[in-house]
Amino acid sequence: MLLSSKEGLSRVILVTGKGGVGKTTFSALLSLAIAPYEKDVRVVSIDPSHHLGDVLETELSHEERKILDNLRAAELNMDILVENYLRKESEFLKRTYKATSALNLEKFFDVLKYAPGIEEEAVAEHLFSYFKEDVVTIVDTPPTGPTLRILSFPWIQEMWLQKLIELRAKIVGLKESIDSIKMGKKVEIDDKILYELLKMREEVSTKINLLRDSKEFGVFVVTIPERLPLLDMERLIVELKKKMVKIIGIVLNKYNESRDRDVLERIRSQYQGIPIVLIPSHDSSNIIGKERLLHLLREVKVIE
Amino acid sequence: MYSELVNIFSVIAIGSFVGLPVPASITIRLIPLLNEDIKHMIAKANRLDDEFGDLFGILNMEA
Repeated sequence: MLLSSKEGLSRVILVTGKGGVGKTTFSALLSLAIAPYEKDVRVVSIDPSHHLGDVLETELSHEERKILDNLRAAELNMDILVENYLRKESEFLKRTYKATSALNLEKFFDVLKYAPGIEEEAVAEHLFSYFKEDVVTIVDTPPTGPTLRILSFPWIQEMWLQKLIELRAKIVGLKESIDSIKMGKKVEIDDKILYELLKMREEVSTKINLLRDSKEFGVFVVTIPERLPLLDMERLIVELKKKMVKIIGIVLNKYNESRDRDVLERIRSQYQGIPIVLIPSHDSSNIIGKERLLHLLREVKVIE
Repeated sequence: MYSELVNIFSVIAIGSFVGLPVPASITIRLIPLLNEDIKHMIAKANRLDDEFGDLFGILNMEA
């Protein structure tokens, strides 16, 4: 097994790093490495410029496709994810505003698909659906920036909810004081908006706790021995530590022992306690198909 | 103060429709509950050029 972790693997594993460092290759390698040890494994790409199918030498689409008996793969289509997400949200709005259907106004809700950040919301929501299943899911991601935006989404929601709750509590407090003075007795306001905000914050906290639970969620940070990808890795690790998300391992791809020993030593001393996966230098255009991936897998070393 | 806070709350809560980066999922959940607050916000916007009207509104006084 690629990592003989004593704790076992997280249920959802995110593979992230700068563009072009080999996230897709590692995602495919990891899925093939753990498949013999797990009941059910899935590898999905959420990078809009998909290459998972190219690496696995299989045509992939939004629908999952069987790669091995217990391994399936898919390249998620962002448009479908946003549509599914909005269908759910629009149905809620349309149910709330039944009259709009009669006036044929419901199509105006469709404009929501252009709301800023909706793609990140849709992808984040879809990823959370994987936590409900008894399947190890490996997620091949877009480069660091977009991935961090998706991953940060519950924290952004929490921050907004916190501010809105503070403001609403102040409003309710003032309303209570004003009404108490008017009525000449103490009045308590049962504010539905405050109740809804508190309910939403509870839901978001549950999501954040899932992301902080190493049995449920973990991240592999992929890099190569070059200055910018290494800097990107450092920033990514700072962000992940800030969020208290488990880093399962650092993957040093295209490692050349004679050339990159210093880089490895620096990473080892800087990130003690985080396993390092070394993938030897290879011609990535050649690593296509299960056979070649399994061949490369035999050369992978793990420093724990 | 109360009136201003209700106004600010509505503007922020429906922010994703007016260019503020509040997550749309929060706005969508709140919208069905915001009828009164939105009416208040619109009335407030209508009184922007009428400072006396706004003051009377805050004091609940009829002209």
